[in-house]
Amino acid sequence: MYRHLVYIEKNILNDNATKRVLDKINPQEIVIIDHYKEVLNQTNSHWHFNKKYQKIILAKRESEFYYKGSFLTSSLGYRHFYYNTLALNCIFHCEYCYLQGMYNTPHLVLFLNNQDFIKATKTLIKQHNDKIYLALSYDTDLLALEHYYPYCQEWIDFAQKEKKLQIEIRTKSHQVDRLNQIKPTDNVVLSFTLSPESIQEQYEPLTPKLDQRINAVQKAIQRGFKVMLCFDPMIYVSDFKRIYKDFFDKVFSKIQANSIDSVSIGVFRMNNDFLKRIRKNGNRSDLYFYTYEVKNSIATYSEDIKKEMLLFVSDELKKRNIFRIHIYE
Amino acid sequence: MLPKLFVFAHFEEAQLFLNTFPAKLHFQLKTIQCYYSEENNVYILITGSGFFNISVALSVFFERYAYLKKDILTFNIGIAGSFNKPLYQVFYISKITNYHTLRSFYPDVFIPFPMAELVSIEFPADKKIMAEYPDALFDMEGYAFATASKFFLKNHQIHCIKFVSDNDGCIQDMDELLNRYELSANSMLSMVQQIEKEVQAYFKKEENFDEEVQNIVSKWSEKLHLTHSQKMQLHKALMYCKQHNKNIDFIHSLNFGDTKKISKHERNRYFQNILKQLYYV
Repeated sequence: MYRHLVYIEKNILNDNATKRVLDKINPQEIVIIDHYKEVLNQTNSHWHFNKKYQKIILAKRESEFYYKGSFLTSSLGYRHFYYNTLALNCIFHCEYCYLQGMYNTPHLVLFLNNQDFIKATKTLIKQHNDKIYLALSYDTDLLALEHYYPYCQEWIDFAQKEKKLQIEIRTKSHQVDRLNQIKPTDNVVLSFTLSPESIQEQYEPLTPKLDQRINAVQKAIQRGFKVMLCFDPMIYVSDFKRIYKDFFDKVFSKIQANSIDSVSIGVFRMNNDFLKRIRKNGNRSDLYFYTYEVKNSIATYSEDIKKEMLLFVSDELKKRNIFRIHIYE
Repeated sequence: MLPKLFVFAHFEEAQLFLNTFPAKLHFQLKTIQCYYSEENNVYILITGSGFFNISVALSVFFERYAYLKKDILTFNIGIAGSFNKPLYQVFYISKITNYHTLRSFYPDVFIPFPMAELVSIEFPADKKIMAEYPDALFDMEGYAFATASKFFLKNHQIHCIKFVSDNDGCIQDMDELLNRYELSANSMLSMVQQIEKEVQAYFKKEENFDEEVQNIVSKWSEKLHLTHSQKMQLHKALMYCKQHNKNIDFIHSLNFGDTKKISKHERNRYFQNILKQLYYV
């Protein structure tokens, strides 16, 4: 993260939230912009070079406070599945992440009008008779941003009062201590994405180590949070079975199966246009040079490999008494 | 050392750089002058003032030296007025706005120098206009420099460094100004060096990598008369192996006999054989 400079939309320059975030970043330079898209969508940028100097953009979202869930994500059995974008882009740099193909630059946009998102969600809840599922952290890692702005705290607070709302906060961060001041509630699930150490080292640079994440999961469970473990995306590497078996042995020797709410699994998959764009943007990860099968514009492993991976992992999880498994097929 | 292009509106602004990098006149086209220092791999382009002149000069330059586009770093350097910024200070430009259209270009900034916004206007800005953007700098080329360069280069290759010449649109003492401009040389050159260092460090690693893969693709393309699509596939497969740190030395010792007169069918079979080995070695 390049904290020397921060971009700020001129309409929020004097807001208290902006001042609070600026105090934390303490930039030497402020560039005032009209709209976050001017910087985020600037064409002709070298995405990966810019990732090295990723900057923060402070902005206000004017509309689109939530979206219908993508068919590329598991709806976890909910009929009304939504996600929102409180921030765009991520401080981590996972090589398999679609964000590299989604925006022209990797700069991190923080929307500071969180209360407008909450207000819009209240209206959405009123429009439905049954419970809605809202994923908060899909185009970013919200918990990792908690020290800039207390997004998770404000949403968990809101969820305490709105029982018709089920919230998921997906993260690779280990910063659960940031939630110490907040009372857990049943309708908020913290989803921790875990990967084998070798996968983490190769494909998830900048993220906390597996041990740190397991430690975070333990803390969250102790504090009374509902926890989901996400083994998604799983990467097909040579010796896949041994690597994932050892990984599950490690994870479930430290986390009791009955202490978690559920598990979500899925293999690497991506919109083919994003994949092409990421390759064009200069990502040299082997992931982008593999021969995937493309079906309905989605690039993923061949049907055989996918089945083999999902079956193997499901069996391994069942052996460890985990039966509530959400599978993205 | 990466090639560098310094772009100036006026000869007086360029003089300092012509002294620092002993350069010879490379070409001249009407009012456009281009100097080149072979020793430093530096081009110095004097364009004349205004949006039009700088756009034309850059187009002429990149049409002539298209092969430089991949690596070259361009810098628009020169004087600019500002209502508030202190006289004779040097700024690294973080935003360039067209005064007339209000469109902005955001250079990729990645070195920690004092920064400022630059507003480019098609006529000399007076005090009243400068007061509209009191903390910005005003010039007559920056925005056109950025947009014309963007046509040929990636954003991280485009940089702007400006020196505050006046606070009201009137230069009071030209000699003093040029003297102070000269004294700022170290500061400006230090910016250039740091930018070059960062870019070079990032892209050097990639280049070596590409070259080896490219050589293998060329060799097999020639041997097996590969189609364009096959060349792309081979490139992809080689990159996959390289990223996986897989040993691909075997590819050099593959032998399909005399491939001069192979049929399309045989070529495809050999090619599939190579791919299979690359993905499953």
